[in-house]
Amino acid sequence: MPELEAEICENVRAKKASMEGLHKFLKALPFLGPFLFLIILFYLVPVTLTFIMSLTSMDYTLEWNFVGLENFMRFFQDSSVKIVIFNTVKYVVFTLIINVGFGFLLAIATSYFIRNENIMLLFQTIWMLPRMTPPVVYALLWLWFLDPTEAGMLNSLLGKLFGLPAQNWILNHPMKVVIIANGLIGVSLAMVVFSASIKSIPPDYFRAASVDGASDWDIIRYVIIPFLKWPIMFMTIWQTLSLITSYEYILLITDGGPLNKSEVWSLFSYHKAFSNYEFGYGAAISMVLVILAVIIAIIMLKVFGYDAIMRRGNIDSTRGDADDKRKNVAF
Amino acid sequence: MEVVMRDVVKRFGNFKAVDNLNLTIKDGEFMALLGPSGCGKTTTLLILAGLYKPDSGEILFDDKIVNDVLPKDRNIGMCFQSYALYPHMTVEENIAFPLKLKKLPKKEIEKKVNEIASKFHIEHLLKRFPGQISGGQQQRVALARALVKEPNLLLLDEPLSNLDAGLRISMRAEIRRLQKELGITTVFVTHDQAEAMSMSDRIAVMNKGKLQDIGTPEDLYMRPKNKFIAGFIGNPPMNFLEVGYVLNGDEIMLKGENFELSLPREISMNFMKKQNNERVILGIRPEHLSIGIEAPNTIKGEIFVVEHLGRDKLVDVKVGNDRIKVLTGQNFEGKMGDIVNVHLDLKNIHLFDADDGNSMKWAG
Ligand SMILES: Nc1ncnc2c1ncn2[C@@H]1O[C@H](COP(=O)(O)OP(=O)(O)OP(=O)(O)O)[C@@H](O)[C@H]1O
Ligand SMILES: [Mg+2]
Repeated sequence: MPELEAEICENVRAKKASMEGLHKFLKALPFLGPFLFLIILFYLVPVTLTFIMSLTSMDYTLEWNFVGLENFMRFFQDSSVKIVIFNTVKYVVFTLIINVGFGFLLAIATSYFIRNENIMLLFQTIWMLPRMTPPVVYALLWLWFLDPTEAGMLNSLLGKLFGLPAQNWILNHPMKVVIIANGLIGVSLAMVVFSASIKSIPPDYFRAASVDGASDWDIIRYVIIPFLKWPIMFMTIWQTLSLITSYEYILLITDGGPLNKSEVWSLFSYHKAFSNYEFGYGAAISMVLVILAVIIAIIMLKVFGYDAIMRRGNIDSTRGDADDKRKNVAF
Repeated sequence: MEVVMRDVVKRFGNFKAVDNLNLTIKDGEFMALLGPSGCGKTTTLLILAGLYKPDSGEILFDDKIVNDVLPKDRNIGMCFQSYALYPHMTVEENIAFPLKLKKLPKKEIEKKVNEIASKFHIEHLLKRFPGQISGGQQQRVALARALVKEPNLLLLDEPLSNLDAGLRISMRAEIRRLQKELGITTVFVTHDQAEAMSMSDRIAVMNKGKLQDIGTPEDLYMRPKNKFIAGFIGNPPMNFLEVGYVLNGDEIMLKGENFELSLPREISMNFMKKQNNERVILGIRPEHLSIGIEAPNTIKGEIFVVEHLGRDKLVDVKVGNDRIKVLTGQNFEGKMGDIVNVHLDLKNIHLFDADDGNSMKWAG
């Protein structure tokens, strides 16, 4: 009997909770409304259109001929796909390492070791420049810097300093160029976010650690990194997702070449759609990418313990989830 | 370890947070650093810990100048005002942290952590995170972390401020016992004079970055060097009345707004002489006042309020524009508005210069 009672209670409670949930949602609607509208307009509508388009064989005639999953079959048989996927992984992983890793080092250097507001500002402004430069100008700067002739900036520098012969950097190392150029843009964002986080750590933690016998390295390892767990996680997810879908700098610097050597997934889709006018096929390639990005995002959020971050601000749930926290501390 | 601060100055911009501080803390001594909020107590501790570099002056540990020794190499245990427990480590990891940095073997760390945890009654909290224990428990964890590495110098920044009255009194005794047992030289910052009085071997009183005086609790209580110390030490605080000073042969006459006191020769000779009609400040503690019959050499006033302190009553008496507090027995029957005569125990009065606040008592 008591079990039944408990079950009924549980049911009633669940119902009540769902009613409350709806009520809460309705109350929040005026605030969420504008964002929901924007999300629908700029995200859901394009995704839906892309999906529909991916089921057609649309070409330069712009006709909606439905062909079912043909485009997807073709994608999985396409011989260039292998190299494109390989390039994408390489591009995302290495750019991410530069973005987040270098940003972290710079943040530590400026806000832990130097701790001078002016120097920090100077550094941040310098690193911010590529982000403030329009992509086309930034890409042109790289092209000019890497100019394959003797007069090219990098070539003449290396020639004068080390007597190295001039070479065509973009032709010989397309992926490296693309990764470095993209990596340097992202550095500033990570650096600013990490610097702000380091500066928001109460100074008593650094003091306590020094008194306890910690060296600078110990302080970075045992104090700064644990405190920066959430920002690091956020930057990693954010940059991964934006790198997976970005192609404008690659388009401008190497255009995926030579041959397919620096072609990444999103650029591949762009080329199919806008160079070959195979809109249907291009849409299918994007569609696979969108699904993949969503899966990656979900996995990352799970791995990093998204629930725990969201619950962190919630006072009455901070107690008693020791196991939860424990799990996350490992990262 | 003996600690000496010599002419230490610390500035923040133009502001002198610590002004020419000279302080010697003997080996194994428990020294309280007492003073009101913002007087530079924490700054002094941070200088001792090596976290702030003094702008001038020297810090000596056992006759060695340590101005340039890094905090991590000073072997200091410190308990911060904010506790500074690492939120991402469990209580156990927090306490073990200094030992881990010393690269002690795991077994030994575990043993020491358990030992100290049981001393501070926090064994049952070891697996929790700082966010999951109360303020008082956090304070004890911070103390345990400061003590676990058996430091040469222990710096405590108001470590008992967040405990309830009962726990505070038992922790006072606990800290005191541990400190004596381990013989660790200790500097204990507090703005609670009762805490300083009850725990320390000596008290250094600070105000506005300057050292006011240093001495045993009894010394500071019985022979305050200036008005600041007199008012800061003792609870309820000393009463002050500004009076005119008239020298009449060997006797001193103190003239208030509506009272006159004459100090007989044996009392007046304890004080330095002043010019006639100069203003001086009369200081007397509530426990050296009583309420009695109308008589010469008493102060007449009106009862303003009567506070019950449990064992005693504290009677607030209005004298002209001033108010003085009188400690009476539980059986005192006076009510608000009653006119009373306040008797002074003349042997226990203090006189201070009205200008610089220095005591007029002959030293020694
Ligand atoms: N980093 C700083 N920059 C500027 N001023 C400071 C700094 N640290 C302390 N001060 C100033 O120095 C003075 C002494 O500060 P300190 O923290 O030593 O006071 P305290 O005696 O510990 O006070 P409390 O009892 O409130 O903790 C204060 O007036 C404070 O405003
Ligand atoms: Mg303080």
